Amino acid sequence: MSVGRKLSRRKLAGYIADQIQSGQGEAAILQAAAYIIEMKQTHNTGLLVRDIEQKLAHAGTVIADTVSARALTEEDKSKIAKLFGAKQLHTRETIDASVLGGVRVEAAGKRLDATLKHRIDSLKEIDSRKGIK
Amino acid sequence: MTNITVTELTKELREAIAQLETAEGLETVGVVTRVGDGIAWIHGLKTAGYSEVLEIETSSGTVEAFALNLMEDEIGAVLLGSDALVRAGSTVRLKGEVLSVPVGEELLGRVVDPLGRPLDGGPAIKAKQTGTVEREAIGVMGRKSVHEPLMTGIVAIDAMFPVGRGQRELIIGDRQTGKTAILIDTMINQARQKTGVINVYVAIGQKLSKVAQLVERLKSEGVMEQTIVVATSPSDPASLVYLAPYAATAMGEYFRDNSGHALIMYDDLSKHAVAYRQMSLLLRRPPGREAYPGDVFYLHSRLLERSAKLSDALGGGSLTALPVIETQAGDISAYIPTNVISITDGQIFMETDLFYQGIRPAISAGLSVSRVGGNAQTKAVKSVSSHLKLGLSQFRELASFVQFGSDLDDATKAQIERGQRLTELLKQPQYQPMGIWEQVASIYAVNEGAFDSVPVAKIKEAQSTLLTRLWTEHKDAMRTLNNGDKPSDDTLGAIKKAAEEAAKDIEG
Repeated sequence: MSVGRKLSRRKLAGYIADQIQSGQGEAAILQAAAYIIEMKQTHNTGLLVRDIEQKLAHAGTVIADTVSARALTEEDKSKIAKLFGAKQLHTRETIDASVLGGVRVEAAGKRLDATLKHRIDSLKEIDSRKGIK
Repeated sequence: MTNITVTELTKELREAIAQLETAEGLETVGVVTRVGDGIAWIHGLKTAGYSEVLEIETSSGTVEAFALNLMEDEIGAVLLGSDALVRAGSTVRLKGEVLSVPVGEELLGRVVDPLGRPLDGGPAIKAKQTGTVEREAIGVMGRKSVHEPLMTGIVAIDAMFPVGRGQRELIIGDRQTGKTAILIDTMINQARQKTGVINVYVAIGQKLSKVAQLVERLKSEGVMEQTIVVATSPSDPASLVYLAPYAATAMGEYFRDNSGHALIMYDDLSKHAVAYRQMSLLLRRPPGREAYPGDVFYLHSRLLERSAKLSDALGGGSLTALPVIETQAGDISAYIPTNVISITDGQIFMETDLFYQGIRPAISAGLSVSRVGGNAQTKAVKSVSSHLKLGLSQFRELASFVQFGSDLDDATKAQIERGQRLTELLKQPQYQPMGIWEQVASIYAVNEGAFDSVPVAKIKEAQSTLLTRLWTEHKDAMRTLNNGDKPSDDTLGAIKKAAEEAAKDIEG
């Protein structure tokens, strides 16, 4: 990857995802970081990470952000992996008592909100809509 | 869930659970990358469709937007609410439906915004049905040629440029030339003549004070019960201004598709094009002529094509459109005016000079035309107005020569005299649309020369005397004439006689 040649974010994400899967992720990430700084694209880092995660998810490696009231059990994780079609699941877990129960999972442009708080909010929303319709 | 009885509770709860269950599961989400000027750029949501509604999660609930730019890895969406709450990083989800608005009779008498939310301080609209804002126009086989009249009550229009149900007739002219006045009179006429035509008035970026005045007038004339007003103000986001005519058309289509007749007035499409230009430039679409985007013709053609007269198989309903275009210094060859002129089935051109000469409505006989309305004109009006347009155009040409004071032959003098009287007769005060019999009697009286001896300044007085005389002495004949059939010789004779007597009264 020669620094100076402009690459699209999608191509860059595809390259890094390929390198991660072939076990050379660390070097590719360092290269990509240098490239992003050189090309003054640091504001797009968040989007690049999303793109990489989506590419990885497509290949079976899912990186999921979870929010739950208590720590996830292995059983929970295997259910999440099954739902997202993951051969390999990595989680970034957040414990938040305000969700009351259940779990919210977000990965690769998809989201499952099975928290109690979401159910209650949805019920409230249906109620308010009834007032309009 | 307030105000529900205990017996309803189980049903309500079951419904709520059912809705909740269907809403559950994996949903596709995206993220807002940039936001500003009413536009949000979204990463993700690859399955989003064109014009699909998106829900952006904010700290104070959701803000809706609709997708207009679908690109390889980004969506340009136009916000339907304030962009102040939307932040970069906000989660966006697909609503799974294209934009739709409430439609139906529940909207009659109401003033709503383009999303069907009440603006008149009344209760929420509880419509049983919704209609999609963007909808394909009816195909060829579903249509029938325009053949039923839509009387505006304005003599100059009904006699010279008749409008038929299902027609698209453009009202075009500079600011302050009486364009909206024509629309109001047409709405009033539908109520006075009990035509059963539903009025849908769309205020596109109009001052709310003007809309409030209009609504008050419609209420005082008893027209509001058969009218829907869809209002947007200049302070509304461009997205709402852009949606207004489409949403109102969906409301009008409900009546058309249920064998009814509706009249939709877009006041005005110039402001609509400007709102679309703003959105397009912010969405970074390439600007074309006058900085409008390349699809500005399609913007209006797909809108106006939805106005149609339906075939009998589809119920025979109709949606008539009266779009308005505001010109700058009478320039009808500008981009948007030429576009809409070519889309519509004719135009009524309002002239500033005529307006300030006191000829109101200031309709230009030479530049106005109705391409299909002739087939829809009532036989009664047609029988007396066949040469009216030509005569009036010739008169206005001749009148410009008279200014030079050259000697004229008797025939030309007579033509000018008749033209002056005709011009005077076609002047009509606002909020006073005329019935068929009034129009026929007035035109016939002048055409037959019954008012030739009446001074030009007293023509309106003579007309008023004639109409009063006819109504008191020949009420039944006038009622029959008002049905629109060709007048009998007896009726015409009675009109001529009454006109001559009225002329004598004025002279005497």
